[in-house]
Amino acid sequence: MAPVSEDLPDTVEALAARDADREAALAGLFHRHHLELVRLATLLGAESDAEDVVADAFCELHRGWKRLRSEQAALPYLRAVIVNRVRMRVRHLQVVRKHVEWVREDVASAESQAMVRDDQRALVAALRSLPERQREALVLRYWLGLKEAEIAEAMGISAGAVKAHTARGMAKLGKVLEGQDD
Amino acid sequence: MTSSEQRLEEALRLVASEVTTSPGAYREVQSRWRRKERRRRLIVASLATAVVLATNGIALWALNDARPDQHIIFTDPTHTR
Repeated sequence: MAPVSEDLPDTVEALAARDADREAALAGLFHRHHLELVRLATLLGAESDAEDVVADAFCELHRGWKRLRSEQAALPYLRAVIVNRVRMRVRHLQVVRKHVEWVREDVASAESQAMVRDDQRALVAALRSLPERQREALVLRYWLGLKEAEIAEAMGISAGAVKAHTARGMAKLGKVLEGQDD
Repeated sequence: MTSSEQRLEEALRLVASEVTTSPGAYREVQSRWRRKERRRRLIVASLATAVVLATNGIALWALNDARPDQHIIFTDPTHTR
């Protein structure tokens, strides 16, 4: 439901009340979902820039708050911005890496990955080598547990395309898993 | 769910659980969006001021250039003496 200040005419007090409502809603969203969104950005390939990507997404949400259909649309909007920004960042890095010698940065440091087994690390590495759309579809499906329609909204594609990307990605990862089983 | 899907889900969950955030993240993001909002409002105010100054300038220039007996605002013959 829209806050009461939305219905008031554009007086200085009403604008201040709207700003306060927006800040409060954003603070709530931030405290509930920030960690999950940073993890999403990391899994999608943002590496050490994950927090920065998420911060930018919150700034974009703050700027476009009035255009949201409802408060429930805020989280899908944040996911879509993050997916888009990480995609742009990964493409930028691919160009940079063509020109400079680059030492691969893992999802987290080797020390922090001590709890992750070698086969699981290999699986995540294989996931990260997939084409970006397949990687995004798999992370949104198997880590966030989103439905096809929600994944389609976050990726800006159709539900049918999500199904295709998920199936192709899983087929490629299946080969990696078969190799691990042998 | 197939075993491949379960293994992928578990691997993603484990890797994600290693990711943490900095403690002052909220203050940092809040100051960033406030700074951007201030800058946006300043740009809008500057543009509005520039438009008002430009239209005033053009109007003053037009009035200054006109001959005293020429009506530059009302050119409709019904408004002339």
